Amino acid sequence: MRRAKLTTKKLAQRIDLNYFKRSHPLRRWRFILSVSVPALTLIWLGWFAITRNNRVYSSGKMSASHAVFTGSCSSCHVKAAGVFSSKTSDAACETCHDGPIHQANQVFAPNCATCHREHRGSLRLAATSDGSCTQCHADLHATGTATHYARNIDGFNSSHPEFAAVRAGSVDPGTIKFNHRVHLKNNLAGPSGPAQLACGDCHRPPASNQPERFGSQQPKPASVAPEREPPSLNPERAYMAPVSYAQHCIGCHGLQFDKRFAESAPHDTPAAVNAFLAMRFRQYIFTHPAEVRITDSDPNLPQRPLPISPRVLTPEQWVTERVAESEQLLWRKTCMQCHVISFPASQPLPVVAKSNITVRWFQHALFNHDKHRLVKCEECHPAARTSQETSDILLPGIKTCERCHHSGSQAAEARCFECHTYHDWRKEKPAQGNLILGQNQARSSEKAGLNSTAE
Amino acid sequence: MILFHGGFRFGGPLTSVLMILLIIVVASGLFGAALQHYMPNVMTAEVQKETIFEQIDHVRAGMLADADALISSTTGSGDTAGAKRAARPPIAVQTVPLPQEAAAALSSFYVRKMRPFLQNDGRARHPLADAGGARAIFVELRTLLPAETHDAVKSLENICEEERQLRRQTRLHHWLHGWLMLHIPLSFALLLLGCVHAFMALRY
Repeated sequence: MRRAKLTTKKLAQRIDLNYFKRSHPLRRWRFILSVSVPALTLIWLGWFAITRNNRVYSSGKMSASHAVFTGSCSSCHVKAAGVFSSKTSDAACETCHDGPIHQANQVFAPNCATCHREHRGSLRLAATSDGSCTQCHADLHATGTATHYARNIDGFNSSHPEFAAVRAGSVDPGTIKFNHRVHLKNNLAGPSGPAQLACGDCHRPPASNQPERFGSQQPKPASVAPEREPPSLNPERAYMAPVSYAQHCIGCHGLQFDKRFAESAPHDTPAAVNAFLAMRFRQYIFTHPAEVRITDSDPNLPQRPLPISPRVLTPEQWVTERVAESEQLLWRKTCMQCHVISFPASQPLPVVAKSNITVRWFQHALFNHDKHRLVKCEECHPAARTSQETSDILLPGIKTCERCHHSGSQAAEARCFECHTYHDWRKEKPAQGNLILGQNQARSSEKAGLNSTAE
Repeated sequence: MILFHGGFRFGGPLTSVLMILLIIVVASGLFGAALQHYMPNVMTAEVQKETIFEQIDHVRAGMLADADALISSTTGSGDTAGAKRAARPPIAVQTVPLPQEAAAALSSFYVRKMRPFLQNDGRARHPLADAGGARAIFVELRTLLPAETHDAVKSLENICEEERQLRRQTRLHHWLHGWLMLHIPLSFALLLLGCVHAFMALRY
């Protein structure tokens, strides 16, 4: 009662010799899937073809500024007659944008798409790679002339030269006598007692809506009202406005000209001041005719000739003398505290040198104080507290910027576009818009299809 | 290469699908290649009674018929249905009358334990599915049965061993070829979409 031994022959006899004629489920399903999965992909593509939607062939998401053209490939991909492909061309870009030339003597001008790479998601198209710039600036040449710019720049942190404004020998061309050290001392004589000045009391962007501590309290013009637009879009927050007497100085540095008047002389040209003084003294003597009899004089006036007392003057004589006294006070003392004043012999009035306050130091680069508002002022302007001369340059050098802007992983942006723009936008021509709203999608439907004759 | 080609981005819908397909195809291919190197050795070592995969169900049916015929002839029940169902006469039929109690015990064991196991009753952990457990069961069975039945019991034990090996072969085969169910269809889809992608890339 034993099962026969399974010899090779017996084992072979157990096999159904027709087994290969019947499909095993494993093979059958493999075949079904091998047919159905590619078929499903064709159905998927077919659906887009039927709905004339070419988005499926997009190589990536459009940038935020071009997202409206996502379904309208033909807006940029223009097909030339007799050519299979529909590549983008500069002409397609220039339909909407003018791309002003970078530099008149540049050796070559790259195509738009060389620097502004589309289909890479919601990126700023202006955020070009450093390679776009260094392809020329790493070995800079100019056509027909020698360039006066740095010739070998291959990155901000590697070979970028020191900023021109702070290179050795540079001085502030301003003529206003200002001593930062004195003005940042404790217990300065303020308009209402001891005061401590801070940087922001004098250095503010035009769009600042904070009240002036030591300036005029008049409201700002509506054109710079900060609520008009969000701070990030307000260009008037990028740069500090030049310091002005009316906004920053008048609180402490009044232009008193005579003890008879509480008001100040106007901060204006010598001729305007002269006219103002004459007008105010005439008004005064008209209401105080007894003062034409002079019995004493003000001993505080400098360089005043000794009075001949008592004297009786005509009103006009009295006005002339008072104006002369007040102008002596102003020209020789008050105005001279800040201004460079000369007294040409040929002119009756002094000449005040132009203030020459530099509004924008970095002419070839962009900077935004508002974006840096979290940083303490002295971090970038350490010399401000000790500077005593107007000619001192208090701007940060490149090393200061490199403390944050470097190529490390935890660093601020250090690529070229962060500070520089390629196109010279002063030469921009206005675009002639030709897009009709609502036709974009329609045009997409007409032109984007695979079998469209338009493409 | 493809990652460099795509700039380490998935891109749009079509290129994203292509990239996902490529990753799955490459991963499943590597997985399959590793299995193709490893599994045959396991199969050779663990499945001495390996047969053609597509014939496993056929062979198991034959084994069931063999076991039915063996029990029928051993217990003298006269049930030759198993012998008739068997495609070939794999057993040496010897009609030896068994004591009634022994015949009942053998029949009971076969009907209640072994036959459901051979029929693959769906129980995840059948006592006979484990080699150690099966050995203990058959040792116990031999102590209950007279010595003249021990050859038949040994044959039944061999059938159970072959059943276990065929089950093992089935599992190994599924590992060895199952990845192709994913790899081949997706490879075809990848080729198809790759051609479409090349055409559209040239166009745009």
